[in-house]
Amino acid sequence: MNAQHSALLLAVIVAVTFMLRAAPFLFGRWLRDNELVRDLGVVLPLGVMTILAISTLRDLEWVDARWLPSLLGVAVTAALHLWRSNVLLSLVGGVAAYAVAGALLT
Amino acid sequence: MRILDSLRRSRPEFRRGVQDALPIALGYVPLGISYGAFAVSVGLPSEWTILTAVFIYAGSMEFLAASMLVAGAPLGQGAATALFVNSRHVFYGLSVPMERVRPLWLRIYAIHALTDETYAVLATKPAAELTGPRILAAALSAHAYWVVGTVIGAILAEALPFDLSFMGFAMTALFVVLAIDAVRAGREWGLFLAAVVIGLVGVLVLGEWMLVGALCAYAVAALAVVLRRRRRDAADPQRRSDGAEPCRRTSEVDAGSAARVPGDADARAAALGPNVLSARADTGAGGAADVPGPLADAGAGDSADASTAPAEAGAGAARRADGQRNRPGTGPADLNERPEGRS
Repeated sequence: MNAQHSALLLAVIVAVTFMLRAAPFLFGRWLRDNELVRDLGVVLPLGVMTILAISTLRDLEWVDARWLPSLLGVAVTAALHLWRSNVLLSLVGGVAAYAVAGALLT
Repeated sequence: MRILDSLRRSRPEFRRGVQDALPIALGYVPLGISYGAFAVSVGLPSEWTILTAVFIYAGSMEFLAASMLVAGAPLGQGAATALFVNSRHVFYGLSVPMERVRPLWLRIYAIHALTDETYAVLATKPAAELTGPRILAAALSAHAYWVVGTVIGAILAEALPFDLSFMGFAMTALFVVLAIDAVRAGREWGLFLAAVVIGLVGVLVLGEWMLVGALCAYAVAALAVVLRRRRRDAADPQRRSDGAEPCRRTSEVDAGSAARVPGDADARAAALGPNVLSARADTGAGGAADVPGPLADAGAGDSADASTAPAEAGAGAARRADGQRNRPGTGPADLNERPEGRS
């Protein structure tokens, strides 16, 4: 980690995040009246989250069974969440499945 | 110290704010611990981990930031990712009266600290009762819970003698959970499928820039869908209430009629509530993310109220958010929208 680059990167992320949080206080009326913004706010998150989930798996290796822990983890997480809708349970269960499968494979 | 003096005078309000934020601790401390452990396990030094918790202070973005910091990702990628991941925050400020927090630097802090959970707690209180000190106290204490959780997680990860790299999977699991919540809330299966295809193609074709490229591609697709629906609705107003997209359409109509009711600024802001809230319900994603079990369950307990909600949102996060928002007496919104929107 290059400290200067890290500081810049952190500053950029913080600045963008803050601007988004401050936007309604600067452009409140416009945001409120703009139906397009509202409609986009409804449909953006599901795609963003889906693509983020896929992006975290992009280094998956398809040799031997090295892909198994990740895909098993995703399946367990999704199943738990569809079943109980408890975020913490889904996370812990999914990570546990991933960890156990990984340990058994090596 | 004038500020300390005025803080002392407003102590009861401050205490109420701290109480408002108590349920958030149930979610923030455990999730903060898993974030702290995650960041350290992917190789982010603890001091940087704590910096991200204090200054980014947006759950899912921090998980991504930890990996990006370790990898030394390009600045543009950081900016674009933050823009997409945190875009839901644009709606939160609309229903929290931040102008009551004084002086300006404290207001700026409170805006920084307006996360999914702080918003959920504050936006469901009657707007008239939200004083500056109360908002500030809720924001400060929620932030403290998050940072304390992160510090504990970082320390644990440093101290434990065994390999914690499996914690890295927590990020994947988190986004799977968020995606499920968002899909369930909006029932947008077509867009979900489009996102999967765009994501997979992005992985195959774009490499390093997969995330930004795929997010932009999805944004374009989503914009096209929204524009097409709007044209269709304009051509055939009947369809606006045909129940094809019950949650979105109904609440839009309700909020529209409520917002036209004359009244003071607060009443108008509150009238916006259900609308913004349904945005959040669908955005719900983010919210649910950072509220593990306890708070989410507490919300689900209110789901009985949802049957009276104007937005007939049936599932998941939508149920929770609508349940909270439409609890009797949440503010002028109720007075305005019931007769107008329901009769």
